[in-house]
Amino acid sequence: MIEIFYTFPNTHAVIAGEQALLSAKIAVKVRPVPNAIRAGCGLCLAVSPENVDKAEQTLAEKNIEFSEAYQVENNTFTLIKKK
Amino acid sequence: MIVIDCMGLLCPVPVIKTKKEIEKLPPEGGVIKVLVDNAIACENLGKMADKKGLKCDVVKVADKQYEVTVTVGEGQVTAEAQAPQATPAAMVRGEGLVVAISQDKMGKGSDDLGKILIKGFIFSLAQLEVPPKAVLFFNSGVNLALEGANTLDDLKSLQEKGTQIRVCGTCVDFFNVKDKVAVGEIANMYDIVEFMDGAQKVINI
Repeated sequence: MIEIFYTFPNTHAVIAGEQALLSAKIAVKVRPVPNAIRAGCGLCLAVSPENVDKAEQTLAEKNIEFSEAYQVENNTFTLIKKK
Repeated sequence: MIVIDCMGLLCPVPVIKTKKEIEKLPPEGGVIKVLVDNAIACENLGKMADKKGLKCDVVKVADKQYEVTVTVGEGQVTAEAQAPQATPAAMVRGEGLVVAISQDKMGKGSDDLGKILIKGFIFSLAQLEVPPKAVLFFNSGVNLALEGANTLDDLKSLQEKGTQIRVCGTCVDFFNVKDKVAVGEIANMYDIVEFMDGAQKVINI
């Protein structure tokens, strides 16, 4: 299963991000930042690839900036976006 | 026939009273009728009977009025007296970690922070090399196991890995959310305490 993990500059942004995505009915999961990444505040948000555009649009509309986006597959993390 | 009036009594009292009466029966067994006023008590009496290999019938006599008949056959009283207390499956499988979650957030301080931390915590539990033997939910912790909770997928994943999920029946009754429990089984305090007693270690959240 492929997931996209978003890291954030602080925990407030993770909380706001989750709420924004849930309000927009986008499936989102809260995940501890994997040791392989070790970036951001310790928690990140995971969405499925088909929801990426909608998720990023929703975050932008709410002025919530993510730090990095990783594609995650079988514990392999590929940095796909960095702000 | 022995009749135990448990109307108005919350779990686990009906189960405990029934167990005590079963232990008092003569070796040839007997029939015990338990009067209760809620469906959760019926379910828990049924589970207790199952564990002991006893026959259990439930009749809904009227709204909030149930008669649960437990039939104890010849020899079953003696067998029970000699055997250790009936144990949940997790204890039979061996000792291990039991996580008791009594709130829908992790830690004290900010509720917003606590609510997001608990999600990360539950996901992390599922990543353990050996998953917990059981995760027990009570008080506002039951919210994490209800329809629509953003923790359900991770709890189901834990369940698939063999973790037993138990949700406090008294609590879902109190919050009137019994119909919304979406993962695990409803348990009474007796089950919860048995899981804790059989655990190698218990983590309280």
